[in-house]
Amino acid sequence: MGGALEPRDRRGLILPKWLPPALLLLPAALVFGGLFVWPQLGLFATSVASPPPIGFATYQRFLGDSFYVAVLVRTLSLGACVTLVCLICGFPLAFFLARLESRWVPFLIMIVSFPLWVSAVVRSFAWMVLLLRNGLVSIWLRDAGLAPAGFQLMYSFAGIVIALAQVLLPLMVITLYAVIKGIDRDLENAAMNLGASPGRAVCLVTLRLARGGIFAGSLLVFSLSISAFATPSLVGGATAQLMAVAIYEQTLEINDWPFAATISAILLAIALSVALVYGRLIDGRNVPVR
Amino acid sequence: MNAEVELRTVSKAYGDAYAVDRVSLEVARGELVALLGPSGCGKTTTLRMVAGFVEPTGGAILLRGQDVTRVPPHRRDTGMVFQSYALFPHLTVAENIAFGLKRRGVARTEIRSRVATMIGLMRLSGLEQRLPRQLSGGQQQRVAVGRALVINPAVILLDEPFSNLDAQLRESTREELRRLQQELRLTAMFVTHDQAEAMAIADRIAVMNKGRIEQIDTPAAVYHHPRTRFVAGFIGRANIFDAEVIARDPAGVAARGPAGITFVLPQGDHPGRIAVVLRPEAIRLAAGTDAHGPNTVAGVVDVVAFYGATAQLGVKLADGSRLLVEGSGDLPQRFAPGSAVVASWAASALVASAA
Amino acid sequence: MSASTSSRTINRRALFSLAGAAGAAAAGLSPAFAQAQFRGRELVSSSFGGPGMEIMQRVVFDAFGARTGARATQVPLLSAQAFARMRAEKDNPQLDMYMFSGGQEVTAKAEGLTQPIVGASRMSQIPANLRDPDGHWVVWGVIAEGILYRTDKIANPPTSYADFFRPELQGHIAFPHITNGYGMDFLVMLARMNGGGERNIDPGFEAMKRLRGASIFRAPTDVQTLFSQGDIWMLPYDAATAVRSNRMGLPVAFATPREGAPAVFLTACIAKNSRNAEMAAQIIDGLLGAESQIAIAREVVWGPSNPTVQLPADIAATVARPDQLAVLDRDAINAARPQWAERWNREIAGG
Repeated sequence: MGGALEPRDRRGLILPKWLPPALLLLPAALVFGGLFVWPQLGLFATSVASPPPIGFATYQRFLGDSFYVAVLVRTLSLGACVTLVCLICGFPLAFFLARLESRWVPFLIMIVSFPLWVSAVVRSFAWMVLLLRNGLVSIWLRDAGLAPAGFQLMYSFAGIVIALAQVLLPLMVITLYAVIKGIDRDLENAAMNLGASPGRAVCLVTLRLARGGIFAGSLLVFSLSISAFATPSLVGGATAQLMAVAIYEQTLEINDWPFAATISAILLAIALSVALVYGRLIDGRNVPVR
Repeated sequence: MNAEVELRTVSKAYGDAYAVDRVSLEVARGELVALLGPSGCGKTTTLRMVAGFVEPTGGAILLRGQDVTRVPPHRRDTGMVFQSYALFPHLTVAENIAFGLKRRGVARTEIRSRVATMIGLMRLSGLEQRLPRQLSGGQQQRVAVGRALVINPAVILLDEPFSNLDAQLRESTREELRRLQQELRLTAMFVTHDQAEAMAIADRIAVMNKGRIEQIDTPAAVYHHPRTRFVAGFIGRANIFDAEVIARDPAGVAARGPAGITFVLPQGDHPGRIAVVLRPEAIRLAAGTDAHGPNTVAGVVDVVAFYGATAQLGVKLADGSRLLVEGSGDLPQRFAPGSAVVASWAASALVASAA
Repeated sequence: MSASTSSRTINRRALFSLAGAAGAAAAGLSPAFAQAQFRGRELVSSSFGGPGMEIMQRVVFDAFGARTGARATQVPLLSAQAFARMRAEKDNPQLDMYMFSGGQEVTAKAEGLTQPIVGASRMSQIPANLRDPDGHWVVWGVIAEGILYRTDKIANPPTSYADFFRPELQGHIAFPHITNGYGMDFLVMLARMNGGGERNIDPGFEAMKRLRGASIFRAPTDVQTLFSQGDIWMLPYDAATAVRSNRMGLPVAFATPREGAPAVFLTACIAKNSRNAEMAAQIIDGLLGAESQIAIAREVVWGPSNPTVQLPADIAATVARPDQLAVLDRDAINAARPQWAERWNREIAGG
């Protein structure tokens, strides 16, 4: 590439090529670095300082204790369940919205995003009304014979999954909507024209091409579910033995900050590695999303 | 008639608006029919109804004699080539072509051989493992055609298949497609807004306007005998005059047009007010100022356009309207702008259509 | 007093106020004096939120502001969160004054996060067991815990923690999470009832395990929801919540258990490096005064800590008498809190 193509300012001064992108990245980098990376490093330092100066006793305590390993496993399965529920409910909804040719679509998307507008406390309150033993959902489940007498969804793992899926569903739907909207509808038509039933056409074409969106949406939902605190503790009560809740308890109730830092470091590490592995799995062939 | 495709008064209404209004059409085996018209005339909707992507609100569609009006697209035997080609971006050329065969449960070895044959036929050898985005526009178009052909559909449906190609490639590609269609005796319908394209390769042209078929005929018939003013104006260049029939006898019809022209046409079944169509190349010019008798008019040359083998002149008439004349390349030398001319034409060159 | 008052005068006043702090504050110095000292300054205290915070704001904080021209405000913070913040802001406190309900003031003093309260004359009226010997903290209110129950569902009112084990109430019991102070006290009271106590918690855990199937909740606001759903008939909580539920129209009453109503002491202390310690001391003095203590008792049923305060008869009837209170060993509880919380998570929450 010749020098003539390098960006110049009005006076003809040649700017170094790296400068414009660096300037564009600067605000985000400052916010991210100052508000996330730096505190996270501090947290990490706290977690590897027992016994001082460098020690991994808190890690040994966490990983050597089946109770905390169970908390970790429960948290990851919560993330997986919520992500799955959001995918199963979110994809058809996003697909419907993306294929709907109506001027009401922006309004419908606004309605979809409604759960995000309500505070976790108010939302969890509503779930209590539905999920308690005398709540509608619990009664329906018992009447339908799907649950034993005295069953309630409140204060249960399933209840946490439902409540979290509700609030995170909009993120999945909006992410998928944008991606599906960008997929040429004639690709589905072409598949059907070549003999694929509508369902198979969506599976063979749309679902494949929406991989990027499925990945982004799942990651968003997964990471927010495993780090969620308010909804799980309100809806889950004592059953909400999850990483975020454990961090809260260690920080605020038990005042063991090194251990809290350790739990949060482990959560972060596992979340990152899950994201990487998931990314590899879903991105079998590197298809650019158009 | 052995119709592979038959449309019987097919309509598509969106509320009160008719996108397609009682369209009837038959496509015979081995025939290539073009749906020609301006954008919004309903031609693409008609094609999509044949493929099954759009459900008609009235009428019936038959494929090989079977009513498929309510049959979903994947159970119809059509092969569509989309305007955007709609190649599956995540599949290779070979996989794209094999897609329809796989859906039909064709045995793996047969798929391999049929795909290989199609790749050869479409001159795509060596590109089998490429992804669509690694192909040129022309190659993509050939993959799209190959993907539709390989399943041997009752009818090939082409939606503006050449519109995404540059001018030179467009011409060679359409000739190639025509050759292929004739060699394989393919039944095909194709949608275009380009009348030259339709004239060049179609066996018959259905000219559409505002959801209706105005005329369906061979290219020559559509050109020489446009049945409506719209068809005359849309196909090729034409001088169109409003005229009033003033006399009839067994030998012909006389009609009075603008600028004092009297038209004499061969006998026809025309009402009082007609539109007279006169093709530019049917007009002869001579120097002079006096126009006597029917089928002549005097005027002044005011615009000259030279195209090499041919040339076009604009002749300004007494009432200010302009007559378009087309002739051999020496016209501009003979008639400079400003020269007075008399234009004349044979009665047989005139076509009357509904006003 | 003019704005040009010399610094020498102020210094002399400062000396004077230090020397005779208690007497001077009690005597109620001239408004002009107070204005000059605090005008334009701003004090922030942590608080427990809700109606209690509103009353204290009106009766004590706003009154102080009106008197001095200073601004005194409260921010709602749960005790645990307040303590975490106190510790995090150790060197540069953003909050001048803290209120605790979980005994955090003892730890705070031990960690050097507090300073003596100087200039609150009413401190001397508070019984010695309700204030720090070195004057670092003082109790300004007493919450009585007990049993809340649905009067329409339970015919014979509960009188003891043993009533939680009545067979006919199975499936209709709830209790708070261990991280909720009342949940901790419930555990201790179950231990006491079964021959244990703060120093022998095992019987408490054993008893709590027998309540399996009970709903365990975290949020204080869940109490009303649980009662209003009609499914939960009885849970251990405090008298103030019973009053509030009543005002919401729920048929809920408070019963003082035979074993004693565990007392929660509401304390105030001043952050170590606060620049507004003198103002905080005056606010604390206000909290200990009769006007504040009576208003709080009337509105939120938090009992007075100042024995010189005489409650009107109607209010006195709703507030637990000192002889009904069970005083828990908060030091022991706080020391054991991490272990118990861990054990509770494993043995009780796991289900």
